[in-house]
Amino acid sequence: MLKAVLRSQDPVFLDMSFECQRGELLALVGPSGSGKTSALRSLAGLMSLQDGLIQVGSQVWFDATHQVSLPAAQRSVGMVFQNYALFPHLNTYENIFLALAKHQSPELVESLMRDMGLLDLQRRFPHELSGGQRQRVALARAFARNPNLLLLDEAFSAVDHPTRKILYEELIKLRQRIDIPIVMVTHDLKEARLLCDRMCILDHGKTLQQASPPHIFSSPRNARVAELVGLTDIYSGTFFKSDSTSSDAYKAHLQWGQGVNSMKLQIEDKGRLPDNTEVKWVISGEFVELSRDDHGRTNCIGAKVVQIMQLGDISSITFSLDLPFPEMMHLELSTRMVKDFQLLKNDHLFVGLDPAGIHIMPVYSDPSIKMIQKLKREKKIQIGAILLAAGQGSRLGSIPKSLMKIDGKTLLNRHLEAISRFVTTPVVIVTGYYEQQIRASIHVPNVHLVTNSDPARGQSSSVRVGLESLYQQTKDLDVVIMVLGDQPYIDESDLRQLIEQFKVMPSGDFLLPMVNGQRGNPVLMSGKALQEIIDQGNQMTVRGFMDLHPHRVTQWVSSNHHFTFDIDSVEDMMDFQSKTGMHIELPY
Amino acid sequence: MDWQALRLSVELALLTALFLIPLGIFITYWLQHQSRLVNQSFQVLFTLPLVLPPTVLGYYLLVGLGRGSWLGNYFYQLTHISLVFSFTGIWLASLLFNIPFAWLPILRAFESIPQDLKDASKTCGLSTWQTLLKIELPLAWKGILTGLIMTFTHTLGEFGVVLMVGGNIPNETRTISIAIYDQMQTLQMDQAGAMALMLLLVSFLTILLTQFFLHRPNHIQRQVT
Repeated sequence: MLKAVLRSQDPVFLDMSFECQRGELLALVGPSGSGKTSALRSLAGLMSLQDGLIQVGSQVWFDATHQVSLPAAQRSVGMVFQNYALFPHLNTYENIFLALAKHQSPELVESLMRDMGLLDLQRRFPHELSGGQRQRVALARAFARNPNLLLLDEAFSAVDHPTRKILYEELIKLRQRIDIPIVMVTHDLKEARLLCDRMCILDHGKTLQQASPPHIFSSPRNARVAELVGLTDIYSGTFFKSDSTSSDAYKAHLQWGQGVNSMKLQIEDKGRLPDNTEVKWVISGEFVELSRDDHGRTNCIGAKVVQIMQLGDISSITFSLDLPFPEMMHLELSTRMVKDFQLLKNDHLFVGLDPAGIHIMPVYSDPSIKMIQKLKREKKIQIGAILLAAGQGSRLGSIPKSLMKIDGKTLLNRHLEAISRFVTTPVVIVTGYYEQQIRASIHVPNVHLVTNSDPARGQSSSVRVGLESLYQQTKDLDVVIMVLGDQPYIDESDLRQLIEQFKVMPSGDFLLPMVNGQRGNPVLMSGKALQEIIDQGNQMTVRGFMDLHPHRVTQWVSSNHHFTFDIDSVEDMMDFQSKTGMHIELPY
Repeated sequence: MDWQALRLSVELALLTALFLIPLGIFITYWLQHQSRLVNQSFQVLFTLPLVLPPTVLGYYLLVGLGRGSWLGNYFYQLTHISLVFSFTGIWLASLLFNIPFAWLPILRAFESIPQDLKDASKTCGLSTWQTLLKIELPLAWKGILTGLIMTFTHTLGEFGVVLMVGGNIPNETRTISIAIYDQMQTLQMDQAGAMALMLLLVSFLTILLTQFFLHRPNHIQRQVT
């Protein structure tokens, strides 16, 4: 068995470890520059390491702590190089003979040539052999020393496709006879999947994941692995654990997309990720079920066939999914199945995503940054909020906009429910023209109502009133959220995003969402800034303070249009209704 | 026709070439295992004779090898042979002057051996020494042959250094190019012409032969097992 821990700073950065059992074929897979060939060279002793351990069976080839480092010639290794590396001045027989150890009998060369079908070619020089024949000579040469470890460096990349197929078959046959660890380097995923027992995914000199190919393809450890193994459909979402009281069979769900424009998928909770984690997710083709009708199954989504590409036995199908946001899905089906299913372009059908097959991965980033962000995110902070419901929608017929009902529930109560998930003090609602009606409609406990006596002075005066009231309640808030009462999309997940961004932002006292270059809302403000604004007297507004101290404002560029949409006119209402399918009912 | 001078020239050229080839291989090999700084410094030093006027080299050799010098004196005490105005002297001068002609083609040939062949040799269990003998030398033979011929023909026609260090002593230091110069000085143009033609022919034939060997196809390269 091979045990390798490879560490090096120069000339290449390596920090990887892997194991390979006897008779097992391990494929090192990664993009160019991932260190896969360097790893192989250091196993063979052709490259020196600064630290680590290489052990094959009971033999230690390299051990930095005991200063052991066998030279290449003393490592019992057989290596097949990318371009064969046959000695051009030696014929087949001589190439193999050269690798024999002193005590080995020359008859071994004959037997190797017989096994590899090279007897007729023994007097030929490398340039007189075809690509496949050269490869066989290289393999025979690699076996001549009875190696304890076989290394294949992109061994099949230099031959044409039919020859490669034959060589694959030969390698598979050969493996039945030998009982040593085989490590193969390849950038060809199909090759790796076909030949190896386990794959080791490398990137920038590091091991990202080590598992069997089916496991890696269905459960990549992170988004980078998914990308490296060529998964095309990598989706974004947010992972939520279900409440313990929930009746969900799957105990967790995945919010695919943003806020109202999102799709809730049932998934299994493997207990590895914390609640509310930004994730990438993939689903392996075998967990996607196609059907002509929706039987009310879990995770069933309408889909339209936009492309069918026949690639021989396999057809590649592209679907456009019926989601509030544009998303595609690619499936590879047998061409036979496509015919049986009578699948045609522009067909409408349903895809069912089996929760067991939905694999979620935390978004990959630098581990140290990830850790700092995690610590920042996990920090408990005191959150206060003001909800501005003072104005009236003059273009909608002078109505209190926060009292419009969306699918039967007022926007005010929707906002309050979302906000109350986060706040540690009562939410301050600033009312103006419609104090009575608003007071009467509140269904959420723990709120504090204040009234702007002169709402005609504008929104900034209402903000000021709200902030003063909040400041009187408590002086040790870490952050204040200022929610406008007419933004119908703003929900719990948007607020969660904002709070998270506020926690991880490197500096500043204000977090301002920016969508397509436009200032968005809600704005978040630190407790310190709140105190300064209050202290500077009642002429100071939040907007004025932000303009005076632009360096204290952190702009968060987001593509989430929830932050910029408000209902100001009948057109806005129609737009919202058509996009969400929700019904808006105006007060009175 | 001064046959003695021709014989002396051929002897000098052969001795120089045969001695410089192993030295060239050794230098190439040794430099491969030196630090970058040492490697580059020696490369400059060994290439210097290529651009230095023969008289400059000749002057330093006269001063450095003459009986008045420490080395020349010591060598004379030991062997009763003088290092200047003697065959040994012009041979030593030729060795120094021809280093780049022998060494550079060998260096280029060694450099053109692909790294993966050297790696393959190591993974086949060959030691450094075995790799040199069984892989690198056979693969670099064209460079070695080129070095040999270049050194031979260059020494054959050498004039400046030989004249400075050896003078013009018949059967000792009077090479064919010096003999030609000598005949010209005494206006014996026929003699000079015949010898010039002879030198031209020998050089032409040598280079022709080299071309023939160098352009033979790969698969009949010398085999090493």
